[in-house]
Amino acid sequence: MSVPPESRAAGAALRLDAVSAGYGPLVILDRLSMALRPDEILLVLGANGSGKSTLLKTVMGLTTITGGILHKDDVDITRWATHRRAAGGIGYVPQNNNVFAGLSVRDNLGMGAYLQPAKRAAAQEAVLDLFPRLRERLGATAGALSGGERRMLSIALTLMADPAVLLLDEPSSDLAPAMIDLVFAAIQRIRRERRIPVLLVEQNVARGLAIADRVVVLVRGSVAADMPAAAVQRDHLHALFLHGSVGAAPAIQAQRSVP
Amino acid sequence: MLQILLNSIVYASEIAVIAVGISLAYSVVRFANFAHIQYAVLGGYFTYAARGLGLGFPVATAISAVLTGLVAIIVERLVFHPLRGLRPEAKMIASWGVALAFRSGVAAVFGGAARVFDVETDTYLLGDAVITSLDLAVVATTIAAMVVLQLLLYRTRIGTGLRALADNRDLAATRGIPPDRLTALMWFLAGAFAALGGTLFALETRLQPDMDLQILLPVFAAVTIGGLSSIAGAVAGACILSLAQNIAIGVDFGAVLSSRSWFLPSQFRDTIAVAAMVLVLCFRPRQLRSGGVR
Repeated sequence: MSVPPESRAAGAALRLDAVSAGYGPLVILDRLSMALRPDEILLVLGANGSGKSTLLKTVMGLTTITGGILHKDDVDITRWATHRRAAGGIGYVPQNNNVFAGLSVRDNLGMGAYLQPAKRAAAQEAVLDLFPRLRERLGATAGALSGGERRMLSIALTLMADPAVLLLDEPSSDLAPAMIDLVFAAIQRIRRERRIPVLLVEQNVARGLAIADRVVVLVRGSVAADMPAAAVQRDHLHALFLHGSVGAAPAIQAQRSVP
Repeated sequence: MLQILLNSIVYASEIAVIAVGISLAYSVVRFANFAHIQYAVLGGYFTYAARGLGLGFPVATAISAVLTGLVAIIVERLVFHPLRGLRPEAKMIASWGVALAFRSGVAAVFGGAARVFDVETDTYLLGDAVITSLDLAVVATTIAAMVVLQLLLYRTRIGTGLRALADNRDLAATRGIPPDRLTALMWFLAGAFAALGGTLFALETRLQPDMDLQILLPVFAAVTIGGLSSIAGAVAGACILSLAQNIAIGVDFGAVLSSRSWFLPSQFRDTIAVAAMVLVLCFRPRQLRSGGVR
Protein backbone atom coordinates (compact mmCIF):
# COMPACT_ATOMS: atom_id res chain seq x y z
CA MET A 1 0.00 0.00 0.00
CA SER A 2 1.42 3.38 -0.95
CA VAL A 3 1.44 5.92 1.85
CA PRO A 4 0.64 9.51 0.89
CA PRO A 5 3.38 12.04 1.68
CA GLU A 6 1.41 13.88 4.41
CA SER A 7 1.16 10.71 6.49
CA ARG A 8 4.91 10.18 6.52
CA ALA A 9 5.56 13.25 8.65
CA ALA A 10 8.39 12.34 10.98
CA GLY A 11 7.61 12.67 14.68
CA ALA A 12 3.94 13.37 14.06
CA ALA A 13 1.77 13.57 17.18
CA LEU A 14 -0.95 11.71 15.30
CA ARG A 15 -0.75 9.89 12.01
CA LEU A 16 -3.48 8.20 10.03
CA ASP A 17 -2.40 5.88 7.23
CA ALA A 18 -5.22 5.01 4.81
CA VAL A 19 -7.75 4.76 7.64
CA SER A 20 -11.27 3.65 6.79
CA ALA A 21 -13.84 3.93 9.55
CA GLY A 22 -17.50 4.47 10.26
CA TYR A 23 -20.46 3.25 12.24
CA GLY A 24 -21.27 -0.42 11.79
CA PRO A 25 -21.76 -1.08 8.08
CA LEU A 26 -21.71 2.66 7.26
CA VAL A 27 -18.18 3.66 6.22
CA ILE A 28 -17.51 7.41 6.47
CA LEU A 29 -13.72 7.77 6.33
CA ASP A 30 -12.34 6.35 3.11
CA ARG A 31 -8.63 5.45 3.25
CA LEU A 32 -7.90 8.78 4.88
CA SER A 33 -4.25 9.71 5.41
CA MET A 34 -3.01 12.71 7.34
CA ALA A 35 -0.70 13.74 10.15
CA LEU A 36 -0.91 16.18 13.04
CA ARG A 37 2.47 17.74 13.79
CA PRO A 38 3.62 18.68 17.27
CA ASP A 39 2.68 22.24 18.33
CA GLU A 40 0.35 22.96 15.42
CA ILE A 41 -3.32 23.81 15.24
CA LEU A 42 -4.64 21.82 12.30
CA LEU A 43 -8.03 22.98 11.08
CA VAL A 44 -10.23 20.34 9.46
CA LEU A 45 -12.76 21.78 7.01
CA GLY A 46 -15.37 20.14 4.85
CA ALA A 47 -19.03 20.10 3.96
CA ASN A 48 -21.61 18.43 6.20
CA GLY A 49 -21.16 14.69 6.02
CA SER A 50 -17.57 14.89 4.77
CA GLY A 51 -16.35 13.03 7.86
CA LYS A 52 -14.90 15.80 10.04
CA SER A 53 -16.47 14.72 13.32
CA THR A 54 -16.02 11.07 12.39
CA LEU A 55 -12.29 11.76 12.00
CA LEU A 56 -12.08 12.97 15.62
CA LYS A 57 -14.24 10.11 16.88
CA THR A 58 -12.05 7.65 15.01
CA VAL A 59 -8.91 9.04 16.63
CA MET A 60 -10.70 8.67 19.99
CA GLY A 61 -11.80 5.11 19.26
CA LEU A 62 -15.53 5.80 19.06
CA THR A 63 -16.03 4.37 15.55
CA THR A 64 -15.39 1.04 13.89
CA ILE A 65 -12.05 1.10 12.06
CA THR A 66 -12.23 -1.21 9.06
CA GLY A 67 -8.84 -0.50 7.52
CA GLY A 68 -5.56 1.38 7.83
CA ILE A 69 -3.35 2.23 10.78
CA LEU A 70 -3.59 4.98 13.38
CA HIS A 71 -0.40 6.07 15.17
CA LYS A 72 0.15 8.31 18.15
CA ASP A 73 3.80 9.25 18.58
CA ASP A 74 4.68 6.35 16.27
CA VAL A 75 2.82 3.83 18.45
CA ASP A 76 0.10 1.85 16.67
CA ILE A 77 -3.11 2.56 18.58
CA THR A 78 -5.53 1.31 15.92
CA ARG A 79 -6.95 -1.44 18.15
CA TRP A 80 -6.83 0.44 21.45
CA ALA A 81 -10.08 0.93 23.36
CA THR A 82 -11.25 4.50 23.95
CA HIS A 83 -10.27 4.65 27.62
CA ARG A 84 -6.78 3.43 26.77
CA ARG A 85 -6.37 6.16 24.15
CA ALA A 86 -7.42 8.70 26.77
CA ALA A 87 -4.84 7.27 29.15
CA GLY A 88 -2.34 7.52 26.29
CA GLY A 89 -2.77 11.30 26.17
CA ILE A 90 -5.55 11.95 23.65
CA GLY A 91 -8.00 14.59 24.88
CA TYR A 92 -11.31 14.89 23.04
CA VAL A 93 -13.96 17.59 23.35
CA PRO A 94 -17.12 16.41 21.54
CA GLN A 95 -19.53 18.89 20.00
CA ASN A 96 -22.54 17.57 21.92
CA ASN A 97 -23.05 15.60 25.12
CA ASN A 98 -19.65 16.82 26.20
CA VAL A 99 -20.21 17.12 29.95
CA PHE A 100 -21.68 14.78 32.56
CA ALA A 101 -24.99 16.63 32.80
CA GLY A 102 -26.12 14.94 36.01
CA LEU A 103 -22.86 15.58 37.90
CA SER A 104 -21.73 18.81 39.52
CA VAL A 105 -19.09 20.96 37.83
CA ARG A 106 -16.66 19.88 40.56
CA ASP A 107 -17.35 16.18 39.92
CA ASN A 108 -17.04 16.75 36.18
CA LEU A 109 -13.57 18.18 36.70
CA GLY A 110 -12.81 15.25 39.01
CA MET A 111 -13.74 12.86 36.23
CA GLY A 112 -11.40 14.75 33.93
CA ALA A 113 -8.59 13.86 36.33
CA TYR A 114 -9.85 10.30 36.87
CA LEU A 115 -6.54 8.81 35.77
CA GLN A 116 -4.40 11.19 37.81
CA PRO A 117 -6.22 11.86 41.09
CA ALA A 118 -3.02 13.03 42.78
CA LYS A 119 -2.68 15.89 40.28
CA ARG A 120 -6.31 16.91 40.52
CA ALA A 121 -5.90 19.99 42.72
CA ALA A 122 -3.17 21.55 40.57
CA ALA A 123 -4.95 20.65 37.33
CA GLN A 124 -8.19 22.15 38.64
CA GLU A 125 -6.47 25.42 39.56
CA ALA A 126 -4.98 25.61 36.06
CA VAL A 127 -8.32 25.13 34.27
CA LEU A 128 -10.12 27.51 36.64
CA ASP A 129 -7.45 30.06 35.83
CA LEU A 130 -8.23 29.51 32.15
CA PHE A 131 -12.01 29.70 32.72
CA PRO A 132 -12.54 31.78 35.92
CA ARG A 133 -16.31 31.69 35.41
CA LEU A 134 -16.38 28.01 36.29
CA ARG A 135 -14.98 28.76 39.74
CA GLU A 136 -18.30 30.35 40.77
CA ARG A 137 -20.21 27.38 39.38
CA LEU A 138 -18.29 24.51 40.98
CA GLY A 139 -21.30 23.34 43.00
CA ALA A 140 -23.80 23.67 40.14
CA THR A 141 -25.07 20.68 38.19
CA ALA A 142 -23.48 20.69 34.75
CA GLY A 143 -26.88 20.25 33.10
CA ALA A 144 -27.95 23.60 34.55
CA LEU A 145 -25.07 25.56 32.96
CA SER A 146 -25.53 27.95 30.04
CA GLY A 147 -24.31 26.82 26.62
CA GLY A 148 -21.12 28.86 26.95
CA GLU A 149 -20.37 27.64 30.45
CA ARG A 150 -20.95 24.10 29.32
CA ARG A 151 -18.49 24.53 26.45
CA MET A 152 -15.92 25.92 28.89
CA LEU A 153 -16.49 22.97 31.19
CA SER A 154 -16.15 20.48 28.35
CA ILE A 155 -12.74 21.92 27.43
CA ALA A 156 -11.73 22.25 31.09
CA LEU A 157 -12.53 18.67 32.01
CA THR A 158 -10.58 17.46 28.99
CA LEU A 159 -7.57 19.55 30.04
CA MET A 160 -7.77 18.09 33.57
CA ALA A 161 -6.14 14.94 32.20
CA ASP A 162 -3.21 16.99 30.85
CA PRO A 163 -3.56 15.59 27.31
CA ALA A 164 -0.69 15.43 24.85
CA VAL A 165 -3.05 15.99 21.90
CA LEU A 166 -6.31 17.93 21.86
CA LEU A 167 -9.23 17.12 19.55
CA LEU A 168 -11.87 19.86 19.40
CA ASP A 169 -15.16 19.33 17.61
CA GLU A 170 -16.97 22.53 16.64
CA PRO A 171 -16.05 24.61 19.70
CA SER A 172 -17.99 27.65 18.40
CA SER A 173 -21.28 25.93 17.59
CA ASP A 174 -24.40 27.42 19.19
CA LEU A 175 -22.39 30.09 21.02
CA ALA A 176 -22.88 33.87 21.07
CA PRO A 177 -20.04 35.88 19.44
CA ALA A 178 -18.63 37.08 22.78
CA MET A 179 -18.48 33.52 24.03
CA ILE A 180 -16.81 32.38 20.80
CA ASP A 181 -14.14 35.04 21.39
CA LEU A 182 -13.57 33.69 24.86
CA VAL A 183 -13.37 30.05 23.75
CA PHE A 184 -11.01 30.75 20.88
CA ALA A 185 -8.79 32.90 23.07
CA ALA A 186 -8.65 29.94 25.46
CA ILE A 187 -7.67 27.57 22.63
CA GLN A 188 -4.81 29.86 21.66
CA ARG A 189 -3.72 30.12 25.27
CA ILE A 190 -3.82 26.34 25.66
CA ARG A 191 -1.62 25.93 22.62
CA ARG A 192 0.77 28.67 23.79
CA GLU A 193 1.12 27.53 27.40
CA ARG A 194 0.80 23.77 27.08
CA ARG A 195 2.45 23.48 23.67
CA ILE A 196 0.17 20.68 22.56
CA PRO A 197 -1.09 20.10 19.02
CA VAL A 198 -4.77 20.71 18.36
CA LEU A 199 -6.90 18.96 15.75
CA LEU A 200 -9.73 21.43 15.27
CA VAL A 201 -13.00 20.79 13.44
CA GLU A 202 -14.81 24.09 12.94
CA GLN A 203 -17.67 25.20 10.69
CA ASN A 204 -16.86 28.84 11.38
CA VAL A 205 -14.10 29.03 8.75
CA ALA A 206 -12.99 32.59 9.52
CA ARG A 207 -12.61 31.87 13.22
CA GLY A 208 -10.79 28.63 12.56
CA LEU A 209 -8.41 30.12 10.02
CA ALA A 210 -7.56 32.95 12.41
CA ILE A 211 -5.89 30.57 14.82
CA ALA A 212 -4.89 27.59 12.63
CA ASP A 213 -1.43 26.88 11.27
CA ARG A 214 -2.52 24.40 8.65
CA VAL A 215 -5.76 23.29 7.01
CA VAL A 216 -6.96 20.00 5.60
CA VAL A 217 -10.18 19.79 3.61
CA LEU A 218 -12.18 16.59 3.69
CA VAL A 219 -14.37 15.47 0.83
CA ARG A 220 -16.34 12.25 1.20
CA GLY A 221 -14.09 10.95 3.93
CA SER A 222 -10.72 11.63 2.30
CA VAL A 223 -8.25 14.49 2.44
CA ALA A 224 -8.86 16.60 -0.67
CA ALA A 225 -6.48 19.42 0.19
CA ASP A 226 -3.74 20.14 2.72
CA MET A 227 -2.18 23.60 2.94
CA PRO A 228 -0.90 26.28 5.30
CA ALA A 229 -3.73 28.30 6.79
CA ALA A 230 -2.22 31.52 5.46
CA ALA A 231 -2.47 30.21 1.90
CA VAL A 232 -6.18 29.49 2.01
CA GLN A 233 -8.33 31.44 -0.39
CA ARG A 234 -11.85 31.37 0.91
CA ASP A 235 -13.49 31.52 -2.53
CA HIS A 236 -11.81 28.28 -3.48
CA LEU A 237 -12.78 26.60 -0.24
CA HIS A 238 -16.35 27.50 -0.95
CA ALA A 239 -16.12 25.94 -4.39
CA LEU A 240 -14.54 22.83 -2.95
CA PHE A 241 -17.29 22.42 -0.36
CA LEU A 242 -19.94 23.00 -2.99
CA HIS A 243 -18.72 20.69 -5.73
CA GLY A 244 -17.17 18.08 -3.53
CA SER A 245 -14.12 17.59 -5.67
CA VAL A 246 -10.64 18.99 -5.81
CA GLY A 247 -11.09 19.60 -9.50
CA ALA A 248 -13.59 22.30 -8.68
CA ALA A 249 -10.94 24.27 -6.84
CA PRO A 250 -7.75 24.35 -8.91
CA ALA A 251 -6.14 27.15 -6.93
CA ILE A 252 -6.13 25.02 -3.83
CA GLN A 253 -4.52 22.10 -5.61
CA ALA A 254 -1.81 24.40 -6.84
CA GLN A 255 -1.12 25.58 -3.31
CA ARG A 256 -1.20 22.16 -1.75
CA SER A 257 1.68 21.83 0.65
CA VAL A 258 3.96 18.83 1.00
CA PRO A 259 5.24 18.37 4.54
CA MET B 1 -52.27 3.78 62.64
CA LEU B 2 -48.82 3.63 64.26
CA GLN B 3 -48.76 -0.12 63.58
CA ILE B 4 -49.48 0.52 59.91
CA LEU B 5 -46.64 3.03 59.80
CA LEU B 6 -44.18 0.64 61.49
CA ASN B 7 -45.17 -2.24 59.19
CA SER B 8 -44.73 0.08 56.21
CA ILE B 9 -41.22 1.08 57.28
CA VAL B 10 -40.10 -2.52 57.79
CA TYR B 11 -41.57 -3.74 54.49
CA ALA B 12 -40.21 -0.70 52.62
CA SER B 13 -36.75 -1.50 54.01
CA GLU B 14 -36.77 -5.02 52.56
CA ILE B 15 -38.07 -3.82 49.19
CA ALA B 16 -35.78 -0.79 48.96
CA VAL B 17 -32.52 -2.72 49.35
CA ILE B 18 -33.47 -5.00 46.47
CA ALA B 19 -34.92 -2.17 44.37
CA VAL B 20 -31.79 0.03 44.47
CA GLY B 21 -29.86 -2.78 42.77
CA ILE B 22 -32.28 -2.76 39.84
CA SER B 23 -32.02 1.04 39.59
CA LEU B 24 -28.23 0.93 39.75
CA ALA B 25 -28.07 -1.66 36.97
CA TYR B 26 -30.67 0.14 34.85
CA SER B 27 -28.82 3.44 35.10
CA VAL B 28 -25.68 1.89 33.62
CA VAL B 29 -26.87 -0.83 31.22
CA ARG B 30 -30.33 0.58 30.39
CA PHE B 31 -32.46 -2.50 30.83
CA ALA B 32 -34.53 -3.85 33.69
CA ASN B 33 -32.88 -7.04 34.88
CA PHE B 34 -35.50 -9.58 35.94
CA ALA B 35 -32.77 -11.96 37.11
CA HIS B 36 -32.14 -9.46 39.90
CA ILE B 37 -35.03 -10.96 41.85
CA GLN B 38 -33.35 -14.37 41.65
CA TYR B 39 -30.13 -12.82 42.97
CA ALA B 40 -32.19 -11.84 46.03
CA VAL B 41 -33.50 -15.41 46.43
CA LEU B 42 -30.03 -16.85 45.87
CA GLY B 43 -28.61 -14.42 48.40
CA GLY B 44 -31.14 -15.60 50.95
CA TYR B 45 -30.05 -19.21 50.40
CA PHE B 46 -26.34 -18.31 50.52
CA THR B 47 -26.91 -16.65 53.88
CA TYR B 48 -28.85 -19.69 55.07
CA ALA B 49 -26.05 -22.01 53.93
CA ALA B 50 -23.39 -19.85 55.60
CA ARG B 51 -25.46 -19.86 58.79
CA GLY B 52 -25.48 -23.65 58.52
CA LEU B 53 -21.69 -23.54 58.80
CA GLY B 54 -22.07 -21.90 62.18
CA LEU B 55 -21.30 -18.34 61.08
CA GLY B 56 -22.95 -15.35 62.73
CA PHE B 57 -25.56 -13.36 60.83
CA PRO B 58 -23.39 -10.38 59.87
CA VAL B 59 -20.59 -12.60 58.52
CA ALA B 60 -23.01 -14.99 56.78
CA THR B 61 -24.80 -12.07 55.13
CA ALA B 62 -21.51 -10.45 54.07
CA ILE B 63 -20.33 -13.73 52.50
CA SER B 64 -23.68 -14.09 50.76
CA ALA B 65 -23.44 -10.54 49.41
CA VAL B 66 -19.95 -11.15 48.03
CA LEU B 67 -20.90 -14.48 46.46
CA THR B 68 -24.07 -13.10 44.89
CA GLY B 69 -22.13 -10.08 43.62
CA LEU B 70 -19.70 -12.45 41.92
CA VAL B 71 -22.60 -14.45 40.46
CA ALA B 72 -24.00 -11.21 39.01
CA ILE B 73 -20.61 -10.48 37.39
CA ILE B 74 -20.45 -14.00 35.93
CA VAL B 75 -23.97 -13.67 34.49
CA GLU B 76 -22.94 -10.33 32.95
CA ARG B 77 -19.86 -11.87 31.33
CA LEU B 78 -21.68 -14.97 30.05
CA VAL B 79 -25.03 -13.49 29.02
CA PHE B 80 -25.44 -9.73 29.06
CA HIS B 81 -22.02 -8.68 27.78
CA PRO B 82 -22.28 -10.79 24.59
CA LEU B 83 -25.77 -9.33 24.06
CA ARG B 84 -24.72 -5.72 24.67
CA GLY B 85 -25.43 -4.66 21.07
CA LEU B 86 -29.08 -5.74 21.28
CA ARG B 87 -32.05 -3.58 22.13
CA PRO B 88 -33.00 -3.21 25.82
CA GLU B 89 -36.17 -5.25 25.27
CA ALA B 90 -34.13 -8.21 24.02
CA LYS B 91 -31.81 -8.02 27.02
CA MET B 92 -34.80 -7.81 29.33
CA ILE B 93 -36.22 -11.00 27.83
CA ALA B 94 -32.80 -12.64 28.14
CA SER B 95 -32.77 -11.63 31.82
CA TRP B 96 -36.12 -13.35 32.21
CA GLY B 97 -34.52 -16.52 30.81
CA VAL B 98 -31.66 -16.19 33.27
CA ALA B 99 -34.23 -15.77 36.06
CA LEU B 100 -36.02 -18.98 35.08
CA ALA B 101 -32.73 -20.88 34.98
CA PHE B 102 -31.82 -19.61 38.46
CA ARG B 103 -35.29 -20.46 39.75
CA SER B 104 -34.93 -24.07 38.65
CA GLY B 105 -31.34 -24.21 39.87
CA VAL B 106 -32.19 -22.96 43.37
CA ALA B 107 -35.07 -25.44 43.68
CA ALA B 108 -32.85 -28.31 42.45
CA VAL B 109 -29.99 -27.52 44.83
CA PHE B 110 -31.83 -26.41 47.96
CA GLY B 111 -35.12 -28.27 47.53
CA GLY B 112 -38.64 -26.90 47.34
CA ALA B 113 -39.42 -26.92 51.06
CA ALA B 114 -39.65 -23.64 52.93
CA ARG B 115 -36.90 -22.88 55.45
CA VAL B 116 -37.05 -20.50 58.33
CA PHE B 117 -34.07 -18.61 59.73
CA ASP B 118 -33.44 -19.50 63.33
CA VAL B 119 -33.57 -16.12 65.04
CA GLU B 120 -34.68 -15.14 68.51
CA THR B 121 -36.59 -11.90 68.60
CA ASP B 122 -37.72 -9.65 71.39
CA THR B 123 -41.00 -7.81 71.15
CA TYR B 124 -41.49 -4.19 72.13
CA LEU B 125 -44.69 -2.24 72.62
CA LEU B 126 -44.94 1.32 71.31
CA GLY B 127 -48.31 2.50 72.55
CA ASP B 128 -50.67 -0.06 71.06
CA ALA B 129 -48.24 -0.96 68.27
CA VAL B 130 -45.82 -3.89 68.29
CA ILE B 131 -42.31 -4.00 66.87
CA THR B 132 -39.72 -6.74 67.16
CA SER B 133 -35.97 -6.59 67.54
CA LEU B 134 -35.77 -8.27 64.12
CA ASP B 135 -37.80 -5.42 62.60
CA LEU B 136 -35.43 -2.91 64.15
CA ALA B 137 -32.41 -4.84 62.85
CA VAL B 138 -33.90 -4.97 59.34
CA VAL B 139 -34.54 -1.21 59.30
CA ALA B 140 -31.12 -0.40 60.81
CA THR B 141 -29.35 -2.65 58.28
CA THR B 142 -31.20 -1.00 55.42
CA ILE B 143 -30.33 2.49 56.61
CA ALA B 144 -26.67 1.49 57.04
CA ALA B 145 -26.60 -0.09 53.57
CA MET B 146 -28.10 3.04 51.99
CA VAL B 147 -25.60 5.29 53.76
CA VAL B 148 -22.71 3.10 52.55
CA LEU B 149 -24.06 3.17 48.98
CA GLN B 150 -24.52 6.93 49.13
CA LEU B 151 -20.98 7.46 50.43
CA LEU B 152 -19.59 5.12 47.80
CA LEU B 153 -21.38 6.88 44.94
CA TYR B 154 -20.88 10.45 46.09
CA ARG B 155 -17.67 10.46 48.12
CA THR B 156 -15.33 8.13 46.25
CA ARG B 157 -13.57 8.45 42.92
CA ILE B 158 -14.85 5.08 41.72
CA GLY B 159 -18.40 5.93 42.77
CA THR B 160 -18.28 9.22 40.88
CA GLY B 161 -16.85 7.27 37.94
CA LEU B 162 -19.86 4.96 38.14
CA ARG B 163 -22.20 7.94 38.10
CA ALA B 164 -20.27 9.38 35.16
CA LEU B 165 -20.59 6.06 33.33
CA ALA B 166 -24.36 6.06 33.95
CA ASP B 167 -24.59 9.67 32.81
CA ASN B 168 -22.66 9.36 29.54
CA ARG B 169 -20.86 6.11 28.73
CA ASP B 170 -18.92 7.35 25.68
CA LEU B 171 -17.78 10.51 27.42
CA ALA B 172 -16.71 8.47 30.44
CA ALA B 173 -14.53 6.29 28.20
CA THR B 174 -12.96 9.38 26.64
CA ARG B 175 -11.98 10.48 30.16
CA GLY B 176 -10.05 7.24 30.64
CA ILE B 177 -12.72 5.58 32.77
CA PRO B 178 -12.68 1.85 31.90
CA PRO B 179 -16.36 1.11 31.14
CA ASP B 180 -16.21 -2.69 31.39
CA ARG B 181 -14.40 -2.68 34.75
CA LEU B 182 -16.83 -0.19 36.28
CA THR B 183 -19.79 -2.05 34.79
CA ALA B 184 -18.51 -5.18 36.55
CA LEU B 185 -18.32 -3.21 39.80
CA MET B 186 -21.89 -2.05 39.27
CA TRP B 187 -23.07 -5.66 38.81
CA PHE B 188 -21.22 -6.68 41.94
CA LEU B 189 -22.94 -3.94 43.95
CA ALA B 190 -26.34 -4.80 42.45
CA GLY B 191 -25.88 -8.49 43.29
CA ALA B 192 -24.65 -7.74 46.79
CA PHE B 193 -27.62 -5.46 47.53
CA ALA B 194 -30.01 -8.06 46.13
CA ALA B 195 -28.48 -10.68 48.45
CA LEU B 196 -28.81 -8.37 51.44
CA GLY B 197 -32.42 -7.55 50.55
CA GLY B 198 -33.26 -11.20 49.92
CA THR B 199 -31.83 -12.13 53.30
CA LEU B 200 -33.85 -9.40 55.06
CA PHE B 201 -36.97 -10.50 53.21
CA ALA B 202 -36.45 -14.16 54.12
CA LEU B 203 -35.75 -13.21 57.75
CA GLU B 204 -39.11 -11.49 58.00
CA THR B 205 -40.98 -14.26 56.15
CA ARG B 206 -39.36 -17.53 55.14
CA LEU B 207 -36.96 -18.87 52.57
CA GLN B 208 -38.42 -20.78 49.63
CA PRO B 209 -37.62 -21.03 45.92
CA ASP B 210 -40.85 -19.28 44.91
CA MET B 211 -40.34 -16.30 47.20
CA ASP B 212 -39.36 -14.49 44.00
CA LEU B 213 -43.09 -14.14 43.27
CA GLN B 214 -43.55 -12.22 46.52
CA ILE B 215 -40.60 -9.96 45.72
CA LEU B 216 -41.03 -9.37 41.99
CA LEU B 217 -44.11 -7.16 41.91
CA PRO B 218 -43.42 -4.85 44.84
CA VAL B 219 -39.79 -4.35 43.82
CA PHE B 220 -40.60 -3.54 40.21
CA ALA B 221 -43.51 -1.36 41.31
CA ALA B 222 -41.15 0.55 43.62
CA VAL B 223 -38.55 1.20 40.90
CA THR B 224 -41.28 2.14 38.42
CA ILE B 225 -42.74 4.66 40.85
CA GLY B 226 -39.26 6.02 41.55
CA GLY B 227 -38.17 6.32 37.93
CA LEU B 228 -36.10 3.19 37.12
CA SER B 229 -32.63 4.74 37.12
CA SER B 230 -32.94 6.74 40.32
CA ILE B 231 -31.62 5.18 43.52
CA ALA B 232 -33.28 7.81 45.69
CA GLY B 233 -36.42 7.26 43.61
CA ALA B 234 -36.30 3.52 44.25
CA VAL B 235 -36.17 4.13 48.00
CA ALA B 236 -38.99 6.68 47.78
CA GLY B 237 -40.95 4.29 45.58
CA ALA B 238 -40.52 1.50 48.12
CA CYS B 239 -41.79 3.78 50.91
CA ILE B 240 -44.79 5.00 48.91
CA LEU B 241 -45.71 1.50 47.77
CA SER B 242 -45.29 -0.02 51.21
CA LEU B 243 -47.41 2.68 52.81
CA ALA B 244 -50.12 2.29 50.15
CA GLN B 245 -50.19 -1.49 50.58
CA ASN B 246 -50.22 -1.39 54.37
CA ILE B 247 -52.92 1.28 54.50
CA ALA B 248 -55.04 -0.62 51.96
CA ILE B 249 -54.94 -3.87 53.90
CA GLY B 250 -54.50 -2.47 57.41
CA VAL B 251 -57.29 0.08 57.66
CA ASP B 252 -60.72 -1.01 58.82
CA PHE B 253 -62.73 0.45 55.95
CA GLY B 254 -65.94 -1.08 57.33
CA ALA B 255 -65.65 0.86 60.57
CA VAL B 256 -65.15 4.08 58.60
CA LEU B 257 -68.44 3.65 56.71
CA SER B 258 -70.55 1.68 59.19
CA SER B 259 -70.40 -0.13 62.50
CA ARG B 260 -69.30 -3.38 60.86
CA SER B 261 -65.61 -4.15 60.58
CA TRP B 262 -64.28 -4.84 57.06
CA PHE B 263 -60.67 -5.10 55.87
CA LEU B 264 -59.43 -5.47 52.31
CA PRO B 265 -58.18 -9.09 52.06
CA SER B 266 -54.38 -9.22 52.21
CA GLN B 267 -54.32 -11.11 48.90
CA PHE B 268 -54.93 -7.71 47.30
CA ARG B 269 -51.44 -6.59 48.32
CA ASP B 270 -50.10 -7.32 44.81
CA THR B 271 -53.09 -5.66 43.19
CA ILE B 272 -52.12 -2.45 44.96
CA ALA B 273 -48.58 -2.80 43.55
CA VAL B 274 -49.87 -3.33 40.02
CA ALA B 275 -52.33 -0.44 40.36
CA ALA B 276 -49.53 1.87 41.54
CA MET B 277 -47.35 0.79 38.62
CA VAL B 278 -50.17 1.36 36.10
CA LEU B 279 -50.90 4.80 37.55
CA VAL B 280 -47.24 5.79 37.25
CA LEU B 281 -46.94 4.45 33.71
CA CYS B 282 -50.04 6.43 32.73
CA PHE B 283 -49.13 9.72 34.30
CA ARG B 284 -45.34 9.90 34.57
CA PRO B 285 -43.83 8.23 31.48
CA ARG B 286 -41.13 10.94 31.21
CA GLN B 287 -39.71 9.86 34.56
CA LEU B 288 -38.90 6.44 33.10
CA ARG B 289 -36.65 7.85 30.44
CA SER B 290 -34.46 9.94 32.67
CA GLY B 291 -30.81 8.87 32.85
CA GLY B 292 -27.96 8.79 35.34
CA VAL B 293 -27.63 7.49 38.87
CA ARG B 294 -29.34 9.89 41.22
